[in-house]
Parts: sequence; structure tokens; C-alpha cells
Amino acid sequence: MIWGEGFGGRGSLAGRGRGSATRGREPGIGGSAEFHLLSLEQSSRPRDDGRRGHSSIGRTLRHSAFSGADWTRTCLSRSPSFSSCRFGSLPPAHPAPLSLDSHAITLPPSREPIGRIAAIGSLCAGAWGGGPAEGGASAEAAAAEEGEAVGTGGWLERERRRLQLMGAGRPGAPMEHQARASATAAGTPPGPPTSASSSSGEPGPGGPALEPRRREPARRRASSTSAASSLPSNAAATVDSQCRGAAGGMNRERPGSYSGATHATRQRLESLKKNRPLFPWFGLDIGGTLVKLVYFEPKDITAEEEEEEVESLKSIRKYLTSNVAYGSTGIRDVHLELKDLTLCGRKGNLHFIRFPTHDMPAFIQMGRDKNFSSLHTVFCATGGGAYKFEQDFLTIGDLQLCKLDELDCLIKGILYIDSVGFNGRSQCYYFENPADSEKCRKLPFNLKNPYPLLLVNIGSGVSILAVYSKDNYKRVTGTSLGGGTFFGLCCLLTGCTTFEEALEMASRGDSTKVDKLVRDIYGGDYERFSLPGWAVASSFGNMMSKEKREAVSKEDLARATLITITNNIGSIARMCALNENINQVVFVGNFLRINTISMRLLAYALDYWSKGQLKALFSEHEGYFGAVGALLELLKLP
Amino acid sequence: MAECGASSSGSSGDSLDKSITLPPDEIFRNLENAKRFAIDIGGSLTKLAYYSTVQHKVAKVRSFDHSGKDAEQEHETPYEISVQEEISARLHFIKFENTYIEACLDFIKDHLVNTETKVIQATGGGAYKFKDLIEQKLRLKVDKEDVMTCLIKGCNFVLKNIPHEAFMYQKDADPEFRFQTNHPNIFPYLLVNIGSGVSIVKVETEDKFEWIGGSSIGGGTFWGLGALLTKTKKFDELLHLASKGQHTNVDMLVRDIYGGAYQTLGLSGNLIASSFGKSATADKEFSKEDMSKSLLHMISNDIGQLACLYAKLHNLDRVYFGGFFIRGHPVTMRTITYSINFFSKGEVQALFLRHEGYLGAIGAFLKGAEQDNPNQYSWGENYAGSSGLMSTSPELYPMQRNRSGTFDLLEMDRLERPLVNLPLLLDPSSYIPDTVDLTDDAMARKYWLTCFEEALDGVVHRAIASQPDAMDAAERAEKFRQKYWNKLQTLRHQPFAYGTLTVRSLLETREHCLNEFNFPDPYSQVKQKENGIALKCFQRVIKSLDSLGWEERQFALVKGLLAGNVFDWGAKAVSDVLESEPQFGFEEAKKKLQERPWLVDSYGEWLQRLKGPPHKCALIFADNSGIDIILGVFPFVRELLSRGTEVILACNSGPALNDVTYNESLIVTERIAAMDPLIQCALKEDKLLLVQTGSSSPCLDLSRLDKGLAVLVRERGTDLVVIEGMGRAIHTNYYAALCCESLKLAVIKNSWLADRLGGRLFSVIFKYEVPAK
Repeated sequence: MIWGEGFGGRGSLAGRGRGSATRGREPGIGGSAEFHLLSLEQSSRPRDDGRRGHSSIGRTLRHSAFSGADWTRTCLSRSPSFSSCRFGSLPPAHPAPLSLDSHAITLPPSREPIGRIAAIGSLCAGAWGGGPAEGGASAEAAAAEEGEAVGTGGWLERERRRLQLMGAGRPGAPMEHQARASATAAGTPPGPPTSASSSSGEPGPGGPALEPRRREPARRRASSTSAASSLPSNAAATVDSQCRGAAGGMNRERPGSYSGATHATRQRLESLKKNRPLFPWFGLDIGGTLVKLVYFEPKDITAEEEEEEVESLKSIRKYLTSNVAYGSTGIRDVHLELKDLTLCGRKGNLHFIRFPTHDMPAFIQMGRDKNFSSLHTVFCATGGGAYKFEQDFLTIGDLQLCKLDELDCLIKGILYIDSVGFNGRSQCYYFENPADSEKCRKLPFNLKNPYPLLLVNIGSGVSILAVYSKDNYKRVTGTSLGGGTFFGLCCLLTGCTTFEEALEMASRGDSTKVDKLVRDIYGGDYERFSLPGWAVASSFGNMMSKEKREAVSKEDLARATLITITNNIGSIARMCALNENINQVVFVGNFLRINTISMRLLAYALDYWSKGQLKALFSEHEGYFGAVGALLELLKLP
Repeated sequence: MAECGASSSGSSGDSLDKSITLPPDEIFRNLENAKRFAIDIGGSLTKLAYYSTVQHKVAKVRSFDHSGKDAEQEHETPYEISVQEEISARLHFIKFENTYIEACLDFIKDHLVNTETKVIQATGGGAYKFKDLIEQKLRLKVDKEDVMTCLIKGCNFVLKNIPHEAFMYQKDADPEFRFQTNHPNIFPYLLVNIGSGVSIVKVETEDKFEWIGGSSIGGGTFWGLGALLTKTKKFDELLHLASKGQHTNVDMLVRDIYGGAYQTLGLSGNLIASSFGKSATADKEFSKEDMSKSLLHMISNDIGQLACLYAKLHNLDRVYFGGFFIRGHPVTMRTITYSINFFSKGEVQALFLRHEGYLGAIGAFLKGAEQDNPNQYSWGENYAGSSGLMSTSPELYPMQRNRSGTFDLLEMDRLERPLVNLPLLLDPSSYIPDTVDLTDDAMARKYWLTCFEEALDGVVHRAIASQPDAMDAAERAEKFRQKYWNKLQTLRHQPFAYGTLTVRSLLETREHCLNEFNFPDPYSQVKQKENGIALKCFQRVIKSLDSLGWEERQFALVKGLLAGNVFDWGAKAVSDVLESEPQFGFEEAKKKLQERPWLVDSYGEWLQRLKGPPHKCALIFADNSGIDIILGVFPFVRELLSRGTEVILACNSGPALNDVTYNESLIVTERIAAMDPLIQCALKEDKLLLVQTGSSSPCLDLSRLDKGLAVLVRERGTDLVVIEGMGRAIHTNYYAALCCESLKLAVIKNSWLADRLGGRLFSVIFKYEVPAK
């Protein structure tokens, strides 16, 4: 994902390749790292979802404009990973958006072919990264985004163009005009650029219209932006006030300062009149391990609209929708895309994107570099990261988050997504004969009577909710033994580096070598308590013995870890269902992504131990409900 | 506990070291009479149980033959004492490392005299593994018993028979152990056994229990996964690592996700959101300590959570934890307790058992002994023969890091008669006999331990003097001194070793140790002599009382009760006086008493009450022999009888200090009856009844009293309870709430205690209580 670029510099390329490929064991340069990763990718995908395959690569190839360095990242990213990149050691708030240059320079010209193939994502990344350009430059940028004219002229040509872009790249420039205009209209003199940093003593541009509490962040926002980009402080501040208006419900009172608006502003006003937030429409869920992003791509854009669309907005749209991978770690789950959805009177597609939480600083940095704040959008964010990164969003990215409770979002999201179905198919499903590999079938489930419902959300940790109606739910309990535990233990036990790798190993392992079963102790069933011989008596129990420790493979250990965590979640979920007197249990969360082993085990265990009383249900968009809920909050839906 | 000669340091842990010589004095005692065996072989420890008869000396009192009319006059003493052999039953439990199993079996084979035994009950995972060895060595047929059944049977047994068996573990509290008084009804409860896996069993009655669930994440997971992660092989070492680690380096906390607390849900930032969550995101190395700690938290939290879910589903609030994961490990008790508190929000208590390690062996034994009806009897923990909690814990005794070679013992005496609650207790489930918890009260603990240490010389002296004809008395007395001294030292360091430490437990331990070395009743002659002297004074005292007016007499009777109570060999201040001034008389004692108003003085109310209708039946717990019972209690009894109140006089079943025993009371009463027609008549008409308490302690536990006494109390409609003496009315029962009137009286014969209560030496406690309507 492009936000990987924020940390430019020569070292970062190597670092990235290294991080992704081998968790930092071989600091190889591009080539070898790529190779490694490619082969890894071949073997590490239990379920080939989330990408379009080579045709899309071919199609996007035309956009090629930027460095081959991005190739590495793009490829790497297609091996979707929880933790392939390590940015921790890099400065989280790199002030200068120079990375594009450095990448270009880092790339040796001799690697041209690779560079050409590789540029797929990077151009698009560049589109977002480049952001809207000021004045005439913006036209060039737009051209670049269209991707027709650029990218074929070889390295020097590209470089020239890039420098041009960079030089022009004063993000948010069109807004500057607008902002000035509106600010003037509002009667506040535009602050001199140089004094921006000290403008905190002045009233915010929205001045009288804004409450003091609101003014404070506005000022900070203004100062931080202007400090970095010499943007007049009031420009950003106006943006801020508009944002609020757009957020609907947050502050419907808008400064009446749009009289002198440009086309783009008119469009925004249109949107506001319809009580509809401005594009882009995002919902963000920042979890402990993964960030989930849903993006609504309007498909009913009129020609006029398109023409008036702010460049940065357009670039975002193009970037997100024409790529399946972003930077080194971002993934768009193409197979989950919801088509022809109507949201707030707009028709479009809903896209599902994820990237590791540890790339969050880079994401924020990109937001800053590309001057996201100029888009006047509201970032509705949920998950713990909405709190953790709030300050960073504000001070670095100049973005104010609208923080939402993750459980509210989760429930909103799941109910909504279930109601719209999955492109004509059922969202919810269950397993028939889950224990039988031959006869096991995944069947649609009609969740027509959703309540009461036990919702088990398995992310890094696990939350269990009892849902009685749309607005009535409670968190029953949670456990720290979740997806993070599975992956964390697998990393320690097997040296694996990605969730996919861990799952793939697990799929080839035999947990009965690791676990002590009832039959290992009693020679068969334990009849006194009618416990079947196949039941696990002690997870990792065989590992108490030195001989057995020496006899197990990494795959066995991965499998045992998966079984242990899954069984435990099933067991706690079952107890909660009994205590709450609920018999349908929906398991969601990214732990279940491409994790059929766990889903089938949960299905079987719930059925077996409850003697058929409990039903385990699953949902296609397993990990994205929080993000969807956040988006719905933005749109004030339902 | 005893160190075995040869340590196995050189040999590998798995091979059996035959060169071990076991010290027969300490372990496998009374083996020659052992009748029934049971064995519980776990993963690393073996627990052996056997039933044996113990022959010990008892002092018997017997009236002289009264047929010869003048014979009576010739005797200086009122009755004769003879020392006889008596046989009682005892259960022995020994816990040792599996390494010693062969040596132990050899030892048993060599010392086993009894040949009736044909079968040995065996349980535990290792029972199968060692079956052949046992059959070959002992020539006993191994009968395998179901592990869980044994565990439950054992658990029921200890909960019923051992006071302060269960305890809560409180981190950072001093002491960390908080013992529970035995609930009169132990059912229903939840037993969570954390072995290699976890079994959760709901126990509803003696025979009815149900496996309601379990988890595969247990001790085996900690051990197995821990071994993989840290390359550390031993369970104890893993725990040791864990106790030094920082789980926050490995676990993803709420604050790692939220940057702080999750306010909406009130989840603290320090909460673990994802166990091992951090080991997934960074490619750094993690320390063994940190990983062990994280693993320990993960497993403890998970078990605690499941236990709470099951407790909630089955509506139970008492959850006992056992299994090797818990056994004697403060680290795991701490994390489990934390987890239970967290998940149940304080509604469920995590309880642990002092003898948790023995449950299987006890259960297997009971299973084999069903024909003897062991459940019909009451049993008592023998403090002299038991090692106490944590005797082998490496953590508390860093010096004893090497656990192997340490034997842990538990001995239980079968009591002659079953013990039950006094039916008059207001709330049996909240009744606590002891007034001061010395585990809690460090100042008091220090004082009393020192007090008992200082009194030890005198006790030894008295013991020797009581057996002038025995050649080995001095030698045995010395052994007694050593044993009791060691117990006191253990208690100084581990006040929780035998449950809540109290003055009562210190006294009882001393009695057990004396018995251990065949000093069954060191005060028998003293009591005999004092009873003789007092009997001679009886008529004179009665006469002077009868000459008083009613109100004066009531006061004189109470003063007499109190003065008699000054004569107490148990109290150091008094024993000094008595040793040096044998003529210290009853009248002088009265002069010593504090003038009214007394330290606690409800005499006015009592007198007022006496002006009202007579009580239906009074239960009196007598204290000392001699002047106390004869000149203090009997005149008081006589007055009650003359008012028309029936009297049940309860005395100790066995000897304790100079307390009057039931047998002595029979003779004394007989002698008094001969002098006093009123007493004679009351005896004849069953208006004066003599009973035994079932106890051999200078203190009084109203929750463990002879069943006969309880039956009588109920039958006679007892409406007044009189408790006399420091041991019964101050050290214990001072705060006991009864559902009838009660009179607690004592003279404080200990200056420290007097100080504490705000009085002085010989201050008087006269506490008359009427239950709130």
C-alpha cells in the first residue's frame, strides 16, 4: 500500500523486502526478496481469494509510470499477510513526502523489465500518493492518473514526470482557493503562510460559528498542515468545519460561507443538501492486528460530476478500485465486493480492504502526505485503533476521526450486510456434516429470525455478544485466546511469518501427535463420564514427553495450536449460549478468513457437545462488519 | 517430612534408586498393624494410604471398691488411676516422589506384619504403569479404582472431617491464605481438577456427582507448550520462570489496541486482549520468563473463565480447585484466583484444599474400606503426625529447593464417636469458634508462639513427673519437646500450615504431640490430688452458701465459679503460683478476683433473670478438675437444680491439661452425690446428666461436639448454655452467637491477653447474653 512509502530512503526498500520475506533474516535487495515471496505466495494460499489474477495485472500494466521498487511491494502484498512488514523502527511521522523520489533513485535502471511489470500498483498508488496538484500541475496529475500518456517513456522520462508531480504536489491546492474564498466570505482574513504556525492564538476561521471546543482541534489542524505544506491555516480550518457539517449529526450547523464556491464546492453543497456526506465514503475498523477498510465506490457518477470531481477524490477512487493490492501489505478482498448497492441514494460497489495495524502510522503519514484532510471527508473509525491513533490522525494526518464503538458497529454491520445479501447469494451459511471431509457441505442459511443471536467475533482476541434486537445487545464475555494467540504461538513454534502460512502448515499437520486424547489416557472412551476417545484431553499434553517433542513436525504444532484455540472458543461460546439461552451462534472475525478447518471444527463441536441444540453459523464478510458499521454511521444508516 | 539418606542427584530421575534408606521413625509409622492399603500414583508423586491401629497408653480412672465401709477413709485420693493400653484407629497418608516408589514398596514389604490384606486399591494415571511392580513386591492384588470417583470421595471426606480444609488465596495479603470454616452442608459444590486437562465436576451428594464439562487447556498444556517454547523440561522450573516474567511483553493488552482503557465497556487497559498477540507482530526474541508468564496467564484465565461459566450455569458459588497444576503452587493459585474474581465479578470464590494432593489416595482408600463404614465415623487431623501445608513447597523454603527426598505426611485419627454441631448455634455456617485468628494478627501470633515456647519447659517437666516409674519418660519427653518446638518454629514461618492458627490449634497440637510420645495425661495425678482436696471442702462450702440470703448466695455462687476458674494449670501465671504455693486456697483465689464492676459485667442482668422463671435445662461446659468443678461448678449446678432447672454437665472425652474429663466427672459426681442428697436425687431422676463433649482440647469447638450431647440438648429443650474458663469462653466462643441464653465466664489469667482486652491480670469476664428476639 502506498502508505508504505512514507518512510522513503534507501534503507527502506531492503528493509521492506526483508520484513516481508523472511521476517528479517536476510536483508536481500529487491530481486531475491521478490523471488522468495513469489514462491511463498504460490504455496501459501489455502483459498485463492482476494485477487483478480494476472489479467488484472496485465490491464493495469498500462498505468506503469513509477519505479520498480513498487513492484516489490506490490508482489509482496499479494501474499496477504498479517505482519509481513516491519515499520516499527522507522520514524512514524516522517515529515517529508519524498519517498517517491527515493524509490525511483534506488531502482537500478537495469531492472527496467521488472520495473515495468511492477509498476501496476505503484502508479495507482502514486495517484493517491501524488494527490491533487495545484493549478496547471493538477491537469498533468490527472493525466498521469488516467494513465494513458505516462509510463512508457523509460526511466528518465518517468523520473522527469515524477519530479514534476512532486514539485507540483502541493496537495489540497484547489481547496486552497476555495478555502480562501470561503474564509474571506466569512470575514476572516487569510492568515499569512508564515504565521500559520503561530496562528493558534487567533480565532479559527469558522470563527463565531464554531464552538470553542471545536475550534481547538481546528487550530491545531491548521497549524500542523500549514507547517508542513505552507497552506494557509484557514484553508484547512474551513475544511474542518465542512467536515463537521458533512458528518451529519455531528454538527449540522454549517458556516454560511459557500457563496463563492467553485464547482467542486457546489457538488459538495449538493451532497449536503441531500443530507449526504461528501465522498469518499469510508468505514474504518482498526483492530489489534488488522485494519479493515470498506470503501463505497459510486458507480452512478454523471459526466458533470466526474468533471467536477476533485482530483484527489478521483485519484482515491481510481486507486482503490483498480488495484487488488496496495503497497506491501494492503489487500482488497475482491471476492467480497458487493456490487450495485444503493446507499443514501447512490448506486455503487462496496469494496473491502485490509492491511496490518502496524502499518497504521504509514497510513496516517500518507493521509498527511496526500493531504487527505482537504477532501472534507469524515473518517468514521471504530476498533481500538480509533482511540489509539486518534491523536496521530489529528496531529500528523490533520484528520479528525469520528470514533465509534466497535460493538455497535459490529452489530450494525452484520445486520446490514446480512440484509443486502452477497450479490444475490446468501450472506450467512452453515456446514452440513462438518466432520466428514467427503460429505461436508457449505450451505446457505437464511437468518430470517436473527434474534436472539450469540455473536462471536474472533479477531486478535474474542468478544462474545448476546444480541436480542437491533439496539439491544450485551457483551457477555471475551477471551484473550483468539486469532492473535493462534498466529502468535505459531510464529513462536514454527517460525512462520504470515497467517496464511500458519494456516497452510496447519492444514498439513496432525494435532493428535501433539495433543493427548482421551483414548491416550483411557485406551478408549472414558465411559464413566461418556467422553469419546477422540476428544482432546490435554492440548499439547503429549509435549510433556521429550521423545514426543522430538517427533512432531512444525505442521503438527501449527495444527494443534489451531485446534486448541478453536476448540476453546467453541467451548466458551457454547457455555455462553447455554447461559444466555440462545441457540444460534454466529462466528465472525478475521480468524475465520480462509480458515475452513476452524469453521468446520466449530460447527462440529457446537453440534456435538450441545447434542444438536446449537447451530454454528458463519458469514461471508467475516471480518468486515465493524468497518461496515462505521460506514453506516457515516451515512447515518439505517 | 524426612530427608532420605541418599539423594538421587547423580542418577537420572527415571531410574529407581534402591539404595535409599527410609527413616522408619518418621514415615510409614504403625506399618506393622497396617490393614488396608490404597495408592494413588500421579505423574510425579505417589500417595500411599493405609489404615492402621495405634496402640497408646491412656490414663483410666476407677472408683475404689466401696464395699468395705472403712476402706474409703484410708485413701488419700478419691479414685485410682491406672495406665492402660488402648487401641485406636488411624489413617496414614504419605506423599513422595515416584522415584522412591520401589524403595517404599520394599520397605512396606519388610515391615508389613499383618497378612490379612490381599488387595490394594490403586488410582491415578500411574496405577497402570506400576501395577506389576506393586503386585510383585507386595503380593497384593491391585484393584484399579476410577480416578474421578476417588477424587470426589476424597474431597467429600476432607471437607467433612478436616476443619479449615478449604482456603482462599489472596495475593499480597498477609497471610495469603484465608481458611474457611467448615460449612455444615458441603454440597453442592464444583470441583475443578486441573491435571493435564481440566475436569469440571458438580458434586451434589456423597454419591451423586456429574462431569459437567472440561477443557483440554490445562496443566499439560502449560507443561507441554511451555517445554516447546522455552526448552525447559520441568513443570516446577516452568512455574519458576513464569514467576519472574513479564507477560506484557508477549501479550497484546487492551491498551496496545486502544492506547488506554476500553472505556465503553470499562475494560482496563491492562487487560489481556490477545494472549501471545505480540509474538505475532514482531520478529524479535522473547524471553523464556515472559513466554512462561504469558502462558500461565493464558491457561489460568481460560480455566477460571470456564469454571465461572459452569458455576453460573449450575448456580453454584463454591468452586474447589485441585490437580497438579494447583498443588502447592502459590503462582497458579494466584492466577486462578485472579481469573475467578475477574470473570465472576466476585460472585464465585476460588477455593483450594490443604490436602488436595491426597484426595485420590483418600478416595481409593475409602472405596476399599467401604465395608468398615468409614463415613460413619468422624475423623480428626493429627497435628503431630501431619506435615502441614506447603511442607514441600520450594517457594516458601528456598533452602529446600530439592523437593525429592521430601516426604509429606497426613494422619487422621478416627474419633470414637461422631461429631456434630451444637443444635443451639444461631448460624452454624458462620460460626467461628476462635476469637483471635493468629494467622491474621501478627502481634498476637508472636506473643502466643513465644508464650507456648516459654511454657514448653514446664510441660516437659510435668510430663516427666507424671510418669515417675517409666524409665524412658525423660527420653520421650525430650522427643516431645523437640517435636513441639519444631511445630512452633514451622508455625512461626508458616502460620497457615495447619489451617487458621489459633490458641486452640496451638493447644491441640501440644496435646497431639504429648500423646504421640505416650504422655496421655500428664496431669492425672495432679487432678487426682486436687479433686481429693476439693471434695473434702465441698460440704463446708455448701454449708456456708446455704447460710446466705438468696441474692448474696447468687453472687457467692458466681464468685465461686470464677474463683474455681483461677485454678488452671494451663495458664502460666497460675501454674507458677500453684507449683510454689500449693496451699493457695479457694478463699485466697476469691480475694485475687477483680472487684466489680468487672471487665465485662452483665451480672446485674443475670441476677434479674434469676428472679424470673427457672430455665428448663442448662448445658454447662466444665473446665478444670479440682476446686473449679467441685467447689465452683457443683454448687452452681446445685442451685440450678433446686430452682427446677435440669442440668447437662459436659466434660471432655479425653484428657487435656488439668481439664476434668468425662470419666473423672463421673467419679466426682458420684462422690458428691454421696455427700449431697440433692445431687443424688437429681442423678436418680435424670435431672442431672453427665455427658462427654467428644473433644480432648482445652478449648471448645461447638461445631464438633459429641452426637449424644447434641441429641440430649435437643431432647431436653436446653435454654441456657454456660461456658466456663479462658480456653472455652475467651480463646474460643467469646463471640459465639447462640439461639438461647448463654453465660460466658472466665478469669483472665494471662497478663498480655488482659492487656489486650483492656483489663489486668485476674480481670473477670462475665458475659450474659440473651439472643435478640
